[in-house]
Amino acid sequence: MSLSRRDFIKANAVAAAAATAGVAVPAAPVLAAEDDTGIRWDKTACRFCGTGCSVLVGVKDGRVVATQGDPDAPVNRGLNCIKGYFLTKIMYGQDRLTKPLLRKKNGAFAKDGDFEEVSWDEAFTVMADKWKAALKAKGPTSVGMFGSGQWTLWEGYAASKLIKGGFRSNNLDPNARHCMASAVGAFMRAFGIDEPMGCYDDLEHADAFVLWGANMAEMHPILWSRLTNTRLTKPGCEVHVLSTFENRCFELADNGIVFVPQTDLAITNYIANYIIQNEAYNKDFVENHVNFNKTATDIGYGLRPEHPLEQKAANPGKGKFEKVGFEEFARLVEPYTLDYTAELSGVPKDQLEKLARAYADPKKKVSSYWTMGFNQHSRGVWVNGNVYNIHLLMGKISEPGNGPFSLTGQPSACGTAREVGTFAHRLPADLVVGKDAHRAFAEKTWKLPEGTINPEVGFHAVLMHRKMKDGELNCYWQQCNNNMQAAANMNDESYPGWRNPDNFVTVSDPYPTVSAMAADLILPTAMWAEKEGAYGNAERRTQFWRQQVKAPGESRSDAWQTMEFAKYFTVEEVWPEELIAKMPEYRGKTLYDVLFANGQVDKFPYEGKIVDDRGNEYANDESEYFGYYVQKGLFEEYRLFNSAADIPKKGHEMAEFDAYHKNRGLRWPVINGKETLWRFRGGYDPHVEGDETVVRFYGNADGRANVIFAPYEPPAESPDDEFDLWLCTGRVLEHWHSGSMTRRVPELYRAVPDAVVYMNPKDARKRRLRDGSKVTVSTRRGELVTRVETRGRNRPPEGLVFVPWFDASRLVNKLTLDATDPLSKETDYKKCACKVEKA
Amino acid sequence: MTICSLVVYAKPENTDAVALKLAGLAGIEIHATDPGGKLVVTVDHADRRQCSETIMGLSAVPGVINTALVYEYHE
Repeated sequence: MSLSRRDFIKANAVAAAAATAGVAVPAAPVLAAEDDTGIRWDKTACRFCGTGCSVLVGVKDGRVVATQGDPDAPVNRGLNCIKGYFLTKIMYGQDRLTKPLLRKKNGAFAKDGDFEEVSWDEAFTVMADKWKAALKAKGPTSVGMFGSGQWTLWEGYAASKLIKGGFRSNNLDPNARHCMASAVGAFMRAFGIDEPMGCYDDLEHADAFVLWGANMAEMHPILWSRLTNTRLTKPGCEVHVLSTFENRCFELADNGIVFVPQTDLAITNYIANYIIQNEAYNKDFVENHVNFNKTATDIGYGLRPEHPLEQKAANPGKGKFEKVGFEEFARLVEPYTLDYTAELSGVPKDQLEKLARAYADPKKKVSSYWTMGFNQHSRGVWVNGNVYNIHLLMGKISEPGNGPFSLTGQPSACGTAREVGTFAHRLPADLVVGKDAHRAFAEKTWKLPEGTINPEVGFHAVLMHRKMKDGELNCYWQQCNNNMQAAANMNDESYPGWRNPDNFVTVSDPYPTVSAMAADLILPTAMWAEKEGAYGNAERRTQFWRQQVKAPGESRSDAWQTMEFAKYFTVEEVWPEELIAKMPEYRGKTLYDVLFANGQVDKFPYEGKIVDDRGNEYANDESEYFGYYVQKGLFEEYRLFNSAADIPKKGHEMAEFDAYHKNRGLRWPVINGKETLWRFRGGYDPHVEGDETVVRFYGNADGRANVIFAPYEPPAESPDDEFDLWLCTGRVLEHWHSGSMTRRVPELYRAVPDAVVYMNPKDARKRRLRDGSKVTVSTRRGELVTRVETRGRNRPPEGLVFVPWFDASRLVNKLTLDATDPLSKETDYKKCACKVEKA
Repeated sequence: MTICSLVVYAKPENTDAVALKLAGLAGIEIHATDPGGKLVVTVDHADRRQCSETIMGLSAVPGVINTALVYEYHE
């Protein structure tokens, strides 16, 4: 390579970075036309977090050879984080699975056998036999599927159809249960409709940012760069960071607050009290747009019913709230004084007041962000709601720069888990199985007989493992996640459940994960850009991509697997005679015929290739196999739930399929091709008539949002004499979730190979430990051996340690407690009691 | 050969100190600094592994708030 070529590339690189950052580069050379080296470039949505960055992927000779942050993407504006930089390498790990693997002994399936390669037909035949036997013996509640916020929209939609419409089981739950179920619960209670009212544009409009249990610097680096940019360029802009330990966000914080775990409940109530005591609340807004309520208290911790804590609770699992007046609400938050809250939370008074002042200043636009600190919380719905209370009291909501915003950790937790509705209680577009009208609408849309869909809510994620251990859920299919590593209390619940001889467990994954190794059947899976896909990010943006490359070996996408498996069941094998009698034309047909070859999903022809508007050509393996444009058919049928004229719930409208292949995504509701940036306000939201002074929370029948008082209640387990430290788990920048992808990228693996225990130096000294000492971290449930880190990126206060969960060789979920929010059923991964001893 | 460009964010008062630290790292060139705390940087290494390790090291430099990758070329 000549020097001039190197200079040319470097000049390109510099110009791109300078343009992205808005920085002038002295004497920047004029860019030549893009070098044509036979690379086909196309947009994709990133496979990792919920930010939803668009990444340009360059393909040559069937392999991804180059990537670039997409300069035309409104989300990331050309930027990429370090995981995004390595994004394409996740497909090329050395140990990709390429054939189905079944545990066998002497040529037949055996639970205690070793994995042997089998054909897809043998895999599905054995699996279907198990499912049929369970259905026959115990009915639809004995089978279930555990899905993902990483599923593409149509994969989740196809799964929902097969499980709820085909098998008539509501035992379908996504791993998003562990991730943002608490946010969903609080949205529904306060606003009657799911997902944030604001969008990422708030990152440029706000004057103050408050991070509640969100380490954005490591987990959402691109949003963090936008926030950083605003903080550094906007005069008076301030950043408040709340966490139970110091993390990288504290570098930028103007008010870095470390609080005692669980006291965020008290801090949020203190702010509400401060606002009321100082008469800073927005009287007009409160008068016209808000109802005041209080919630049932002493609700337990979502443990097994026989657990002493559940026995002791007055109202276990009770989510009911009742109307009270403003005066009563004011009285309820009154005990949360500055003195009381500072004492309970351990936060200095001046820091608490500084935070409260930011919210209470009517001239300051405040955006609140949170992730797992709030959601993985045994009072997650409550604490989410407490932040809505603050924003609603001030009327700081649904307008540029003002709003509460729950960030998501998965690329399509919003799109696939929430919008498509792959939860145990949901149907597409915010409909629920518990409502007659909603089931009837789904049955009509799916062309199924009346009474097909089960009205009983299915097993949620945590309950699934308990029911497997108890032998009640016997067939379990996990797609697109790693729940054996992710679920809490692995030793007592997850592992005994999966290995219970009564159960048959199938895992679909590209790699031999901890889950795959604990399964009975492993199905090799096409991932990310090996299939056509769509994700919905945290700001309601729906984004599509085309299949860029072929999956290795016999790997097939989740959509293919779900649809193909449906061919192994006739209607008679799964439905009772009285149901079939309502639609005798389905007699003798397979679930595939009924659910997918139904004249809707198979409506759009496939011409043998996908061509973009620049003339580039792409494969589409599912469409090739089934003989029609699978993704388009599934999406357009899904759209009947959110965009047809007779839908039960308005507000989730989406554009037609083809539009999303041409744009960088659109934020729903999309009406006449136009996206919505801020919901519930005239001038922005097409569902609200009038100008920007008009607010209507139309998810609730009376158009008002609910302020709901929820008190401080202690966590399920706190440190004591024996287990004397708080254990908090979470993530690190370099690895994504359970590390099944990022640990296969050599650079990321080398950068952070093992999970360490982050510890305060004083706590280390007290235990005669030093940086790097080998230690055993243990709880009442299990232990792991690792090394101490006292000088790293995370700096816990005395009394708390942090262990990341990405490391398959150090499974921290052997230690965690499966206490869940009784309302959202989301596990609290942030608080249990442990001890650390020299190993 | 791998060439990457990045935007590095520092607090404005730390920009000069961060620039000095970065300039001392192998393969790094600073092309522009902005008084608001932004630096435009390229990383240039013979192999991709070295390049990525340098990039990941940037976040650990005291005073650096964030780094974002913009462009990568490798062959």
